[in-house]
Order: sequence, then structure tokens, then C-alpha cells
Amino acid sequence: MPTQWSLVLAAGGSSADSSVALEQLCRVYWPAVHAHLRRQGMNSHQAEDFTQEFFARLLAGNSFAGVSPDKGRFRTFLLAALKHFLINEWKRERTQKRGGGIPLVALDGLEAPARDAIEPRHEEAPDAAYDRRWALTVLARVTARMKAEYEAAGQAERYEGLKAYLLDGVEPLSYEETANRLGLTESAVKSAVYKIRQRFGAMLRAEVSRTVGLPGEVDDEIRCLLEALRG
Amino acid sequence: MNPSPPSTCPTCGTPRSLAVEEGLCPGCLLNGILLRGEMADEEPAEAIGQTCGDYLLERELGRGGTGVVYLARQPGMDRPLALKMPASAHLVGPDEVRRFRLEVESVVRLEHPNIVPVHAAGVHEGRPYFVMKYAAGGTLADRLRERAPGPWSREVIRGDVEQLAKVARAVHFAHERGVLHRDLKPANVLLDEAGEPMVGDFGLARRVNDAPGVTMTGAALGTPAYMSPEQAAGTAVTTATDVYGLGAMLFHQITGRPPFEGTSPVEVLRRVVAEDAPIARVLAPWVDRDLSTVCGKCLQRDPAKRYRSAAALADDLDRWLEGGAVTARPIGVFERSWRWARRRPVAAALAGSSVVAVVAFVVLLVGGSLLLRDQRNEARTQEGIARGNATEARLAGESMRLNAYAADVYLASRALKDGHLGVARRMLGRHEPRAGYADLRGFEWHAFKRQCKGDEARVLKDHGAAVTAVAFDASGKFLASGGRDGRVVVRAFPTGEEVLRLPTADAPKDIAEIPLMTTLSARSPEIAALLLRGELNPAELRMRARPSKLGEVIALSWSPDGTRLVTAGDGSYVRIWSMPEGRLEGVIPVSHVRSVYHSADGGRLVLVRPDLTGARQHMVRIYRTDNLSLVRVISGVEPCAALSPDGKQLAVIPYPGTKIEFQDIDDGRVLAGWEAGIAVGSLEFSKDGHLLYGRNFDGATLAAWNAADGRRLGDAAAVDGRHGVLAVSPDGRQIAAAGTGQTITVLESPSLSIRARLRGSEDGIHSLVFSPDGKWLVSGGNDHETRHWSLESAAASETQEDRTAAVSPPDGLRAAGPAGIWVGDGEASGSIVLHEHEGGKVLRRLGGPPGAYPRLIASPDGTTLAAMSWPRDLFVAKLPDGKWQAKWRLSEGTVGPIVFSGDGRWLASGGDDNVVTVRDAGSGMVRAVLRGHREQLFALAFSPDGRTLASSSADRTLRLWHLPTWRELGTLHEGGYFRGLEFSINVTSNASPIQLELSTGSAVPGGLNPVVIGSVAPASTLPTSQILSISPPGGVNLVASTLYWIHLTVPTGSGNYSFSNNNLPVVEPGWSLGNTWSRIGTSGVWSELTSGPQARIRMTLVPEPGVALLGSVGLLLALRRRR
Repeated sequence: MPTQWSLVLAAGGSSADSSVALEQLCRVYWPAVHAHLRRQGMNSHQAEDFTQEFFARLLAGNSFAGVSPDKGRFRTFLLAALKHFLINEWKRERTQKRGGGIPLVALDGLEAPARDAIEPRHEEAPDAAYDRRWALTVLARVTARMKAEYEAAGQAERYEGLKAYLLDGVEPLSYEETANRLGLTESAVKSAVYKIRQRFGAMLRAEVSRTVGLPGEVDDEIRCLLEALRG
Repeated sequence: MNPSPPSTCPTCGTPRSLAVEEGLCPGCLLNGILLRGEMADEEPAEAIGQTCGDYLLERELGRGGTGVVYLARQPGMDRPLALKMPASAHLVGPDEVRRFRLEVESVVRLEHPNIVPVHAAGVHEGRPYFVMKYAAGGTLADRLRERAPGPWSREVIRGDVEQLAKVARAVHFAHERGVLHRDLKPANVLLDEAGEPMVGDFGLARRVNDAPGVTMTGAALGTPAYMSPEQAAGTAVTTATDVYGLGAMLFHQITGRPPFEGTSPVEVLRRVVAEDAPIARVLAPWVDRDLSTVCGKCLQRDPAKRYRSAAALADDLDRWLEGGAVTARPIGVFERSWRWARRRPVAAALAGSSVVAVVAFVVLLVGGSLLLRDQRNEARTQEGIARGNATEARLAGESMRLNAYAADVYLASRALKDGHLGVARRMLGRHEPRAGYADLRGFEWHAFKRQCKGDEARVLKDHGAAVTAVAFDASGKFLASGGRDGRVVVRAFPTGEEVLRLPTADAPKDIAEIPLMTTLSARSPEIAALLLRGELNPAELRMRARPSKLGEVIALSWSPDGTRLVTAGDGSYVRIWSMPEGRLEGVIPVSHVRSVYHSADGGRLVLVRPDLTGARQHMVRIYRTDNLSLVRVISGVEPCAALSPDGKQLAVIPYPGTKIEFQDIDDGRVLAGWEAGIAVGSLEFSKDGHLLYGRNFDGATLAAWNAADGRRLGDAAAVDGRHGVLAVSPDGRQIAAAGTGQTITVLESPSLSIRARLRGSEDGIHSLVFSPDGKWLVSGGNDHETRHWSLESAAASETQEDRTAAVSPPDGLRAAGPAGIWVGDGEASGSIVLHEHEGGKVLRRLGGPPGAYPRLIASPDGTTLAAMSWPRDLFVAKLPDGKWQAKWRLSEGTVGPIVFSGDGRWLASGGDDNVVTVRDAGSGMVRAVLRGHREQLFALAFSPDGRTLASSSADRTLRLWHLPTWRELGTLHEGGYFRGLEFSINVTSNASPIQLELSTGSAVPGGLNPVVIGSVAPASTLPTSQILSISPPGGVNLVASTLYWIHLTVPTGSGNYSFSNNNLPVVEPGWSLGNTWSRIGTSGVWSELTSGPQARIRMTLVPEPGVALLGSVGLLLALRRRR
């Protein structure tokens, strides 16, 4: 079951549960917006202000003319909406103080160290920075949750030992070695590797599916994210 | 753009600097995902072939949002099973465990032939699983996919409808147990080898009464094509949601596609929220009109307009299968044009002048039997429009109103049968006469209206929400009621005067003052609609709703000395108030309290609440009342607990289980214990403490145990309503039980035989209490009302009716017409003689019909004489010439009753083909075939106004039919064989009473023994109901039937009679002693008369102004000796 993010937007946030879902999405993916704005030439604080206001307007149900949420992905929609927002802002030439009367949106991880970590690289184009940051946000979120699950189950060590198996097809280590390191039998490692891969795949797909319109688009979106990473 | 990064990943070329965490290259992570694809088909060898608990996993059957299902086998057992466990093969998060537990819990409680049975549940290596029946026939979705495209034959559609009716009953069964399915779709209906449907995957099921939790976040759960608008919009989900799901399945079955389709799930969702469901018949012309209407009613966007329950849908489907009229009606023309006008206000305004004409046109097209004539009508209507002739339009409007009337009366009769008085009242209320409209009400309306009167003596509307608690103080002089609106009202009893209202707030911040309550808003269709339309900001609702939890009152208890009242509920505190001042004396910081008791000496206060909010496992907390200190806590018990009347013992049931334990209230010693044998939902001690009563969750069993040794003394089956409440009368001789059904059952103790059923509540009942003097019962219900029931009058409201003897049939060869009495010889070509009414002088002779005949019938208007020839032919002669003109074939089987309408226009006949055939008495053309009875017809009668036809049958029902529309109006009486039926004529306000003189100990004189079954009159013309109770026992029962005023007198000086109500004046010289008025209830009136042998009793049935329906039934009016 895919997200109904576009439906939520169309409804103007009239349903409690679904507007919460949209707010969550925004809270998570703000770094991509931030990266885009930074590459537009804003300083970090300006970019933050704009990000805040952009989301506030989006969540208040302000539709951005010409941006149809009918189809497609949240990532591309958000970028299109952001561009419209910026154009409107430029037009307005700050005749009005920003933020007036609109409640701010709490953004996850806005503390200083986190902010530094998401600074885009200088040479990137704004759109590329946006997509790349998006991809990294998805992965960071899923790996962090994954790690937390293992830690919660008291298996932080196992996670560290197994995470390399999540990478591209190549087996980085022999099962025997890993088995020795983790104190498991080789078949247990095989089973554990299977499990971690399956769990990671399911979590990532679930996360991505929140931002696309059709289940069939998940793989395509992952491909797009991969492209963005390679630049 | 990225000319020379310092280092890139050798595998994928992603810059190293982007690593998500040490050693994890994001590119390789994503690549890994893409390369491995979705891993579902790469199921690891570890699961297949392994055992899980006692079960061997053979292969994977499927995967859903919440779990994975394996085909499993129990070693040594032959049958295949399905084993379900959480989808993630790996670490199971607390959310998943919780969701899975919910699912198991909700499914295990559902034992129904059409719900996938759960055989076992357990936990294997930290993973919960459950084992259920393996459905070998696949799913309904598979069947629908494999089917050739429509059109399908009626037989195929009938098969679908039968299947869906079963599914609907199963879903209703779950609803009654508090479980919603929320994801009904063809893929969740499994089929066994025989194709029998079973509802499965309660994975999304949420107990109806649970606080919103696990599955309530977002609308992203469920399947969009079958999802209801409220689900798609993420608003409150109720049983109506499942009714929508059932309708969507039916829609798919009969049309071949779900109601909404689209290129993406998002689009489907958007359409579900924004558009009206299509009409089945438009998409699939082979679908019958009624069935299409049934579908449409399920798929209404407003949940309140759907069937009120899944059972109601099943009933309508059954009716369709039997060929009867369905209760669902197509959208009325007015509603349709109103909807249209709402969508296009400008166009509507422009069209205003021609609206009447348009309405006329549409109505003529949709009206009942007009299909055959629509061509002609269309031409005529357009002609009418052209001339601006409004008569046509008015006639069409009339036809619509008649149809609506007939359908509403039918619905009212169904609602009455189910005990849903509120619905019946609303349905009938729609047809109260209004200025400018013809009064369509006939005999049936008045008859059903009478049945709408509840048994209660008084109704109080003190609360704006469900009344959850009612409690008497020890003296019985004060009655307190508490509700979900947070109000507590104390009234004097029995006067009903308001004494006190407790403040609903400690401080103005207390949200109990604010009208938008959680429970209220969750239930209110208005608020759901506002949310759906975006007119109410959910943020505002959340904001207001959150603190309202402070308010709901769930339990009340008076201290034994009556000086204190304790209120408890979902609020943060249990509050103790001084009485009668209503001053807050103290609080105990405990929330979510389900019940409160005082010990007999008033020294202890016992609270029962969940261990954790929302959990089934409960705790009992015992406090001292003097300083509110906690004495003891008993954790891990089932929600029901009972305090013994002496206040020394507490009966609890350790969770989970069915073993009852008696604990010492102070030291917690277990004093006794025994197995209950049922899953107890409520417990109550008898007032002397010798007995313990228990009722299981679904209300199906009520048990009484000897408190000393656990011996089970009595059992009652099927008390109306689930999740019930129990109350024990002060003398211990009666108990009352009620629940989600609307009827209160009063039983005798300890035999648990049913003594009375009290009707009148319009919704489920939350609380019940006896007055300390045992004369009254008070209930609080979900209808926001507190009702007082007098038990003295209800005492005799259940009885056994004895209706076995037959009535000698009237001489078939005699037929009374206006000119005189025709007497035939029954011979072919014999002779028929007309005698004078009085005196018997021969007036005329006619030749007999060309065949032998056992029965002669004369039309009341004197135009027709008919002779019935066995088994199914009718010879017809027109008068006055008396020539035998025609022979009509009346029935498929053997003909039973034959009757002409009063104006001679119609001839109705019934036979052993179970149908009533109505034909034009002039031409013999069949005008209607009335289907509904399940057995052969016994008797028929037309009402004098020509609007209503009454029929009785061997199926023990007496039904009414609406002549203007040929629709069924409902069952007026059930449970009696009426061999004769007659509408009494000339019964007006000054008509003479019908008198019957009966003698005890002797047979009833022969001939017709009329019993008045229903009558037309304003209810206000006679004194209110008093039911006779004549004692002492050993007398005779007088059994009559429904709805009449009965007036009993006995000869002066007989001396042996005593009446409980003998305060009315003597009416006739020579007849005295007791006499009283009594309204005869649905299940009969019975008066016990004590007398010596051969005493005379005169029973006078005083007709109220209007028309009465008389039925003759063997010994219905017989006096019978009581054993």
C-alpha cells in the first residue's frame, strides 16, 4: 500500500491522521530542501528560514500553482513546489516579513553537528544537491533505524559484523571469518545475513514507498537515487 | 561536475565522502537492494521444512501487510493447516508483536462457520504465530479473476448473493463481539473445498471499543478499491465501514469490477473520497434493480445512510433471494434532484420552472410496475409537460410517496421485530400527516405505531451522551446517573424530581465543559462529515478532545449510609462527593476505572481498572474509605469482579482464564475457587451471597452457581445483546440482563427462566439497577436516556400461548352478498339459491357452475359470484345475470383462501404455493403476486378502505400488504395460526363493543371467535396501560393477541374473583367486581381468573374508534385451566 501523500495534499490536510503523516515526511526530508537552497547561494541560516517557511506553507494546505500532486513522487513534487515557492518569494521581494503568523515546523536533527554534516559540496548544482541529499537522507534514516533495532535487541555487535553484507552482491568476507568473529556457526551466519538483508530491503522499500505513487515505482525511485549519488 | 573526487567507491563509483556510516557506501547499499530484488520468493531454507511449535512448515502460501502464511502440517495428523506469523523473518519489533497479538486475540474469540477458525496460537523462538484452517478452495478474488466476463445468469448472481449474505452474517457476528474487520475484500474471503466462504485475515481487525492505537495511524492501511470514504480520508472507522466493504465486494461479484478503479492506487483513493460510487445496474445491465439498490445502499458515502448493520444487509439479500421486496430503496427523485441542484446551483435555478415536469418524468420512469408502460407514459408525460399540466406530475409524486410509505412501514415492522423501537418510531414518524399532502396512513401504520410504545414507565434525558452508570442509594429515595458527557445527575425516586447535579469540572480548564468530546466526535456522523468535507480542522478537534478524557463517568457507587457518592471513569480521578450537598470531599488519583463498589460496612472502596490502559488484564484496588489509603492491589485478573454482600469476599477471575476465585478482601487469602466453565464477562452476587451469577462475553450464556461449592444451578440461553450488564433484585428472586441488544431480559432466580422482556430502549444498554424495594428497574443506555421500568406491570408479560385446537370452518357453500345469502349444492351444473339475510326466504335461483365446487364466494359489492373448484380453478359469474362466464386458474398449487375486496375490484387468493395472487376481479388479469410467506396461506382480508391486505399463513405470521404499491408492509403478528381474518367494519367512535361471554371449564362456543389483532385509533383516547394480574394462582389463563383494550367484568356476587386493579367504576348493572382496562401487548395478554367451575366471565373488547382486524384462531380466546 503506497502512501497517500498526494491525496493528503489535495485534501488540504482535512484529516488528522494523514496530515500527521505528511508532516512526518517533511520533517524527515528537509535536508534535501536545505541542500538545494544552500546551493542557490543562501547561507545556512537563510536556508533554514526558507525551509521552515516552505514547509509551513505546504502543510497549511497552500497549493503551489501549477504543481500538480496528482501523480508521481514526493521527491519530484517537493522540488517543483520548492521552485514555485522560491519564485513567489523573489516576486514578493520580502515586502512582508517571513514567518508571520505561520507556525513553524519542527525539523528533525537541526542541531549544529547534524547541520554541518549535511552541508552540500560546493561544486554541486542545486537540483543535484537536492537529489543527492534526498538519497542520503533515505539511507541514513533506514540504517539508523536498523541499527537501533539491533541495539534494542542487544545485538549491536552482530549488526557491525553483518552490515557489510548489505552492500552490493559481492560477498565482502567469508562466512567462516564472520562466524568466528561473532561466535556463531557458519549456517547461523548465513541465516543471519539473509535476515538482515531481508529486513533492510523491506525497511528501505517501505521508506521509499512512502514517497511514490505506485508500488511499482519503488525500484525506479531507488535507481534514481543511485544515479543521484553517483552524480 | 564532479571532476576528481578524492576517492570513490571501487564498486559503484559513489564518492567515499558520502558514506552513510562507517563502511557503508550508499551506492553499494542501494545496488544491493536492487540486485537482490524483493526477497519474498527467495524464502530461506530455514523456514520451509522446519518446525514451528508442533507444526511442520511445508511451503509459503502468501504474504500480506501484517504476516506471512505457511502451509503447515501437524505430524501424525493428516489435515493441512495454515500457519501465520509476522512478516519480518527477523527482529520482531514491539509494534509488530502488539499488532499480531491484537489479531490473534480478535480472531480467537470468533467462532463462526463462516470465519476462518483458529486452531492454536503460540510463540516460537520469540515469534508469535497462530494456526488456522487451511482453505483449499483459494480466495474469492481467485474465483472472480477466473470467471468469464459478464453478463451472468440469474443463477450465477444468486450464488454470489448467497455467498455474500453468509459473509455479511459472519461479519455481523464479529461486530457483535466488538471486532471490526476493516479490510474486507475478495482476497480476504477464503473458500473451502465446498466453496463455503470464510472471512479471514483479521489482520487489520481492531476491537471496536479499543482506544485508537496500532492500526489507526493514517489511512494507508486497507485496500483502496474496497476502502470506504471515511477510511480513505483517515476519519473514524465503524461497523458501517465493513458494511461498505461488503457492498464493494457484492459490487465486484455482480458487475465484475470493484466500485472504483484508476491508474494508480492514489487515484483510486482520491476517487473514493471525492466521488459517489457508480450504480451497479448502469455498469452491468444484467443486474436486477433491487440488487443494484442494495449495493448502492452499502456504498453510500455517508455511513449513516448505509445499512445499520451487516445483518440488515444479509436480511435484505435473503429477501432478494426469496423474491421479496428489499428494504433498500432507490434514491428518491427529490433527493436526486436535490443532489443535482446542490452540484449545479445555477443550472438548478434556471431549471426551476420546469423542475416539476422533470420530476414527473423521472418518477414515471422509475415508478414500480411502470416499466412495461414507459413508452406510452413518456409520450404522455411529455405531452403533459408541453401543456404545463401539473396533474400528471402530482400523480407521479403521489406514486413515489406511496412507495416510500410502504417501504418505511415495512422497515418499521422489521425494526419492531428486532426490538429497535427508535428506528421504527422514526420510520413511522415520516408519515405523520402534513399540510398539503394526502394522509397515506392506513390500518397498518396505526397498528405498528401502537407497538412502538416502549414498556418503560418514564424516560429521562439528563445526559448528552451515553448513560454509563445508574445507582440507587440504600433507601431507594435517590437515583444517580452518570454519563459519558461527564454529568452526574441525582433525582428523587420515584417522583423523578431533580435533586442535584454534580459539577463537571474542577476548574474551567476541565474540558468536560467543551462540547467536542472524544467519544462523541468519534461517533458523530456530523463531525465525521465535517472532517471529510474539510470544514472542521482536525487539529482543533485533537486539541479539544485530548483533555476531555477527564470527564467520562463510567461507574457510580453510593456509600451504604447514603452520605457519599463515588464517581469514577476515564477521568484522572475517582471523586468522592458528600450527599446530598454534592460537595467534593476527596479524590483518588486513579483513571480508567471500570467499576466501583462499597463494602457492606462502607469501610472499603473497591475499584476495578485495566492493568495498563486498554489492556484486557485488570487489577482490583481496595481503599479505606476513611482516609483513602490503599489497602491492597490484586493484579492480573479479568475485568469482571464482584463483591460479596457482606463485603468480606471478592470474586475475581485470574487472567487469563475461567477459574473463579474468592479472596478475602483484607488479606487476599484465597478462600475458595472453582472452574466457571464459561468465559465470564460479568459477575454478580445474589443479595444473600449464596449465589453467584455470571454472564459470558457474547451474552449467550447466563449461569448461576452456588457460591459455596460452585455447583451450577441454572443456565439461560441467548439473552439479548452482548457485552452485557447484570443486576440482581434485592430479594434475590429476579435478575436483569441487557447489553448491546435493546431489550432487557428479566429472569427468575435461580431457575433463570425468562420472566419478561422489556422493550423501549433505542440503543444498547450500559447500566442496570434494581430499586431497593425491588419494584423498579432503571437502565442507562447508549441512546443517552435513563429509563425507569415498573416491574409490577411487567410481571406477567411473558406467557405460553396455547393455540392448538382448530376452529370449525364456516360452511363453504354459503356466501353472504349484499342481496342475501347464496347457498349452493356443490354439484356440477347443480343449483345455487339466494336466501334473504333475515328469515331465509328464497329470493332467486341460479344454475351451478359447470364443475363440482366445495366453496362459494360472493363479492361484497354484489357484482360477482364465484365458485372454487378443487384444486385451483375458479368459476366466475357476473351478477345480476348470473351466467358462468369464465374459469380462472388461481394458483400453482391447491387454493386456500379466496376473497374479494370491499369494492369488488380485486380478488385475492392464496394457496399452498405460499404466495398471494391478486387479480382484477373484472378481467381476471393478475395484478400482483405477493411473496413473503413461507408456508401455505390460511386466510386473507382486505381492509375496508381498500389500502391494505392482511394474510395469515401456516408459517405462523400475519402479514400486511400495501395495495397501492403491492409492497409488503411487514409482519403484524408472529407465532399464531390464524384460520380466519376479518376487518371489522362500522367500528367507529360510537360503535358498540364486541362482547364475548365465556365460561370457565367449558368449551368455547362454536363459530368465529374474533380476536382483535390490531386497530386504528389515536392512542390518547383511552387510559394508559395496565396489565391485569389476577390472583391467586390456580385460576385460568385468558390468552388474547396484540393491541387492544380489553375490559373484563364478572357477575356480581361471584365472589371468587380478585383483580389487582379494580379501581374503575362498575359499568353495567349485574356485572361488577373487578374491571379494568388493559392494553394487550405484542406477546399477548393473559389474565388469571380464579373462580369456581362454570363461572361466567364477560369479556368486553371495546373497540377504539377506527378499524379493527379480527382474526379467529382456534382457542385463542379460550380459557384454559392452569396446571
